[in-house]
Amino acid sequence: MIDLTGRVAVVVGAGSGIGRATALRFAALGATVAAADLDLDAASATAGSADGDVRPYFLDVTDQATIDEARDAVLGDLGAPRIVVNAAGWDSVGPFLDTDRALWEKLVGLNLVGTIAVVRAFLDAMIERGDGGRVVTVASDAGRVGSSGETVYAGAKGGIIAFSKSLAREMARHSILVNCVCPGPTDTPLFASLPERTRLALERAIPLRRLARPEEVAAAIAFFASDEASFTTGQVLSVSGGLTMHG
Amino acid sequence: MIDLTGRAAVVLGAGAGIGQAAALTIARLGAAVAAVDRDPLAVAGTALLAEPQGSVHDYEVDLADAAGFDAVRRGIERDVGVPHIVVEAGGGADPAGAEPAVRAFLDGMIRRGRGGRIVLVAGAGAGRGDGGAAVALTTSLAGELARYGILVNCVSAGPTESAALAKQPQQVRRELEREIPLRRLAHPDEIAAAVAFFASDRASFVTGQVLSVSGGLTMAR
Repeated sequence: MIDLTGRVAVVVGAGSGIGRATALRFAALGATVAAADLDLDAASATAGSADGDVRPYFLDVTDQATIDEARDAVLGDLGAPRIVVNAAGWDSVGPFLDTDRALWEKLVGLNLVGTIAVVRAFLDAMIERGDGGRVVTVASDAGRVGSSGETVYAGAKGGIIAFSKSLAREMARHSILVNCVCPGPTDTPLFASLPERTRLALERAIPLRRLARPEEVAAAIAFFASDEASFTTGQVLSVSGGLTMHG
Repeated sequence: MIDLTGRAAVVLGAGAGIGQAAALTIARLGAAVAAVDRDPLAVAGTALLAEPQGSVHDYEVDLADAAGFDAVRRGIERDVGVPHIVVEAGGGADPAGAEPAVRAFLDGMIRRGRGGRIVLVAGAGAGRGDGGAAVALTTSLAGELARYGILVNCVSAGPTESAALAKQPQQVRRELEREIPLRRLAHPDEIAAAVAFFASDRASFVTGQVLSVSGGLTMAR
């Protein structure tokens, strides 16, 4: 039912975790995937394990020049994408009182400005092609309901949610639908970096009593990227085992 | 990629509109569907429409009739089995009105012990209010049923093409379209696609969530 045959998709952060699972899922559904990552070897490994057409690109979401270069390379190799996903993200957990300006700027720059810059880079080509498209951003439940120890990260992720909704309004006239997936705690390298006490407490707080698998988050991204979601824009879907339920 | 082969599904309010589209979509994906509606002719029509490509049994019952509903539930469990999927798409003015009908299937689902999916359809497109009651029901049920692996989610439908809307003056439609960023109404199949996603194994970690399929009309929270 979900079929992406003939679609070109850009997935940023495709070297690991949710981005990797998304690139693999898109490829399995028939898309041609530009898998971009800060770690080109990791992006190449994703391409190597794909059941389909996945091509690795180097892209650092905090470095505009690399975004522009990757965009030019993707447009030259594959043409205008139909689907753009940014799954690159980073967190450093600790009390807000212990954080400093350098960390704030890194968290907001990588998570929020990184998402904005990746999406912005591909919009002109998508609009020019004129047959609509899909943007899927990855925020976090932290951005919907807050999360202690992740205060600035939550602020950046909340920014991604508001950015996605506003962009959805501006892009509706171009039939480019913009939606946001909010993972809860997910079995990724990022989660593995947390202290064990935090990890156990989070698992206990999840009604389904386990972490998300990256593939389960990728499934929601694939739904938004597909023709099945043809009337859905500006929406936020949590894939978090019931950890947060927005009223 | 969404495959419901071997699954039993109940769709309440399957005689027309979104409920009918949901029943047909779920049947096309391979599930055996019990289509329930208070209008026997309408729901028989749904079963007929499904015939070339899916298995849909039709049942007539008024959800307000508790004794009648219990008999229908037994019939459904006999004919298609204990449901894995229950979709509520038109049991009354608000899905909360259909709570007893959803409740009726829970014992069997829990006893079977293989989890399941409940999808409530709320919103203007379902001919209902703002869906506040449906959202409250979704989150409460999701919290209580997580331990059984039964996931509960809600699709909030924006203005949707329907027989009732077709009878309204053109002016009403134009005003609705102007307010919707995508500048058109939903087709029932577009609501049904979100229902099918929640009903599927692809949504294995999603519970207590509300997804608005409204062309951007509402972007609450």
